[in-house]
Amino acid sequence: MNYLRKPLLCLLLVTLIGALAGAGLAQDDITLTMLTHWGTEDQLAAQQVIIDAYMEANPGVNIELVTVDFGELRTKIITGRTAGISADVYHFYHLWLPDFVNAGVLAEPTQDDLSYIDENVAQGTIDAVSTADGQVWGYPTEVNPYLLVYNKRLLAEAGYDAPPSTWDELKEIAEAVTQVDDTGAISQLGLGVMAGWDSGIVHPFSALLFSNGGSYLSDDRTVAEFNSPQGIETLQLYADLVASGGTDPSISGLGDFPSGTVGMVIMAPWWRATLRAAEGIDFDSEVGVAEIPVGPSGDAPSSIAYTWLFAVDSNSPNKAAAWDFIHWMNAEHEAGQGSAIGDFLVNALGAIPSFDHDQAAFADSMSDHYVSAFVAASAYAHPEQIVAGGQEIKTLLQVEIEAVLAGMTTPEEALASVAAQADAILEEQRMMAEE
Amino acid sequence: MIQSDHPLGGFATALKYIVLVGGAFVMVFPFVWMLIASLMTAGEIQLRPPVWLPATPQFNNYAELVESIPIARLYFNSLFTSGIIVFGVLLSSSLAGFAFAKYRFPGRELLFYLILATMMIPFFVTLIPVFFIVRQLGWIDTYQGLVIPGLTSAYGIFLMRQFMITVPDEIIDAARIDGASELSIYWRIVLPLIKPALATLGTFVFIGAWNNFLWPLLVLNSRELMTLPLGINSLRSLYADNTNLLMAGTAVSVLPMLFVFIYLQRYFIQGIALTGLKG
Amino acid sequence: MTAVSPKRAWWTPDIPKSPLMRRRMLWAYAFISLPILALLVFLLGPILFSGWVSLHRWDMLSPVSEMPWRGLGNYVFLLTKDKVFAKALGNTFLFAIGGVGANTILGLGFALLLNSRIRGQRVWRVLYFMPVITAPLALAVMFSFIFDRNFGVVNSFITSLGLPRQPFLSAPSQVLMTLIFIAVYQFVGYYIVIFLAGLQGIPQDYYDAAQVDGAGKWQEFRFITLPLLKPVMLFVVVTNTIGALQVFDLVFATTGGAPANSSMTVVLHMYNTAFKFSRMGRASAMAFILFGIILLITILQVRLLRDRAYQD
Repeated sequence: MNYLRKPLLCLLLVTLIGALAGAGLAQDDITLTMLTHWGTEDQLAAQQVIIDAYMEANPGVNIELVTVDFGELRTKIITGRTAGISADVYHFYHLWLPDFVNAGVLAEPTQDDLSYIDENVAQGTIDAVSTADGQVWGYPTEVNPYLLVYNKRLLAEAGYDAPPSTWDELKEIAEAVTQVDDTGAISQLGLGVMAGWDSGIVHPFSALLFSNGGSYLSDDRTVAEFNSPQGIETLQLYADLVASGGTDPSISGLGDFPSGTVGMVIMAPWWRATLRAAEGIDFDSEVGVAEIPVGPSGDAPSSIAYTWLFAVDSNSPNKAAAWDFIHWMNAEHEAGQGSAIGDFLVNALGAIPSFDHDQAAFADSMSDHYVSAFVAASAYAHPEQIVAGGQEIKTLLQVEIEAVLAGMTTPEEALASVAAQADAILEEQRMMAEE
Repeated sequence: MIQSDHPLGGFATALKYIVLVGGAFVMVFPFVWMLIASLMTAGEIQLRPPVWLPATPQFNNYAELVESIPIARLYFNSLFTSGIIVFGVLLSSSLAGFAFAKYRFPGRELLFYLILATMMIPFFVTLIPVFFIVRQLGWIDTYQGLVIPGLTSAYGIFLMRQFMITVPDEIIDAARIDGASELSIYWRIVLPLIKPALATLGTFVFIGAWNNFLWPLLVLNSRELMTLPLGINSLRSLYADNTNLLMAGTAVSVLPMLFVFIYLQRYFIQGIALTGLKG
Repeated sequence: MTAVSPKRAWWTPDIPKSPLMRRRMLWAYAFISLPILALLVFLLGPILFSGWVSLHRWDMLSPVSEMPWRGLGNYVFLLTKDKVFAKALGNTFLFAIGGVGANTILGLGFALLLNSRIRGQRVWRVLYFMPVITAPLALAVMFSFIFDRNFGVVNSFITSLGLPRQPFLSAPSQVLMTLIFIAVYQFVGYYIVIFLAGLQGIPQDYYDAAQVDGAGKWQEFRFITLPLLKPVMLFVVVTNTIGALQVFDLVFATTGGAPANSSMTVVLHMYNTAFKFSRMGRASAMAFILFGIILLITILQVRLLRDRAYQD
């Protein structure tokens, strides 16, 4: 067997070692698994500090942190459930809440948790983590409204001292900031969009839509309303911006604004950490934040905000321990100190926390010019409307907006097409609920 | 020894080498660039105009990487599971191929055509149900869940049968007359004769198992069980803002396999070449 | 039930008569038992199950026994209403045509080069083969960086020549081409090796005879190499097509289908439908439609390439 000896020996060796190593794994009394999408190095370390503190205070409870990319979080929750190996504690995007509740994924919070949330969180945020029947499903965490983030230096160089407050000004400034060099390359772009990312496309669109007097779904969330005349105007704005060169989908606002080559982006507060570390733009002197410019059919700046929440899996054998852990992370243990998660949200992410005590305790960290603007916006921003099938609708809308940006379709056609599909999905979900 | 019977012979030869070198440059460059970028600082990667080499190579990047992800564990998991899959497929395919090639039994044709038919099925048709079955067996997030569905291969059985048919019946009959059992005929006589075919199939299966991404993505949860492709995938979010570290991570996951390949390239390339001729 | 049925099923014409032969028959069954069992459990069973699911609506979370029946509804929806599926099919075809075309031409071209009097054949083969053994996911990460619009080395090179910066993966007009490039980069070495083996299997006598007849290089290629390479060509085209129509890892890790679904492929859409939108029934129906398409194309290719082989 000379011929195969080398490769086979290699394989055999490894296989044997594996068989020996496979034996014996000790288990602690209670192990809780927490699944989050906070997966960068710094975020992992910050979460581990919280977990270690809890485990020290609660011997006998072992917390295991599992993180996946945001793009795979929903999949992981669903396949984990199907497989019967779900995590005990989830942190997830509230748009998925109705789907998860319909499928029985979540456990109801205890009465103590419900009253704690009720006493310490603003009603709008509580609604954002509740289903239509009023049931609250978990501890809300970050509240993320959208605003216009702009590069003061680039706008000033183009001759503008103030950010745009109307769409006409937005178009004008975007066009003025854009610079195309002699090779035909865009060296500087007016308004950056974030193609390829559902929230990065749909949330800024929604913020502009609401600032144009429009709405996303009907109030009872049974039909799409983004295809209204206000919606078509909003998407026409995108088409105009592309036509004038004010925006270009091949340039990512997410990647290029921090490098100082994009004038404006519609973004959320948690971007602060990135902007502070950015080398192409000075956070203190060059990053400006303004309200969403008002459209021709709107009368005041508006916005949308999305939320995330901690919840417990209904299959968890340790629901009480899981809720205890979530409560411990979110509760204030000493007056004025804020919670562990509040600290993490504000100081590691730059996000706005949901709990009153965190907003108070970390007010200083949120008082910089960047986050304070978002705190103000969170008072009037519309919570993202959550509905069963919402993720699918959002993805469909994202793709059609990208198609308009790419000049592949018109605003009317794009929105009519998504609205028809969205209405069918909403109808189907209602029928499913009845079946 | 190069006889130029063509007036442009020298020129044509030069052209051949130019094309080959150009092609090889394209093939090798991404790996080289990955290494260079992995030694840059985060700032150097974003410089415009770009720099082609780091001012001082940042070997620290690798130290940082080793601290934050369990490279050894990822390697072990990939090698261990791929190894079991290769052994499993070689054993099951050669046994079944032997039976189909050298025995007469009722149902042989039917079963063989059934196997041929299943070779055409896209893997995705079976993905969801297999996931479901593995879950029913309680094997989600275990090595066996990752490995066992891959232990048999319709293609492997087909390939083995094609090769074993070429083994002369006389050798087998002679062994039987000498009193050899059926098992020892398989093990002592037939297997040694089809070693090249085994290398072929083993190579094929190994590359497939080593690079498999979708199945482990679905079936594994724990970090302890993660294979290399899953590790690379998790690096994408871990180092979303640090392309230099992302490249270091990719390099660490790719290069050792390349060295093994170069060391064993004879087996790989002979094996692959055979599939084209026998498939 | 009688112990021994007097009738034989149509597919069992010859049960060996002698006890010795029967003993061997039992051995054969023993040899195939485990592999066949595994194929039943992990291949045939799942195919049937998948077909069953494709006629239902199933979110994977509720019990299988309670799936609402949809009949052919999933198939009808996919073929008439699902625009993403139509788009994904189109993209997948383009990807397959471009990829298979380029792999075949480049694979054969480089194989011919390497098969002529070239030094260091082994070194070349190793260099060209390197991407084949590299995980598609790793290549996706590498090329996302290399083709990056801002920091990518390809754009650095292009712009240093004074040419305009290209968006590559971020523009609908270039994303498929870029993905095809990456896919060809990954697999061309594999096809070079296969073509090379095919070329080396052609007896030298044929060429010697042709040279006696005064045939030129092109005529040799046209009338000897190409016809004799038909089986290898068939293998390359068919397996490459089957693989290309199921592309997933590469697109998943580079663009995820963006922008505006310009790089959405069938299997990625299937994955999203199943695991992002929890529509297992529709995803299963998609898998079967793809299976039908693959079957059709394979039969077509086998016919076409075989017929041509006979004509020559």
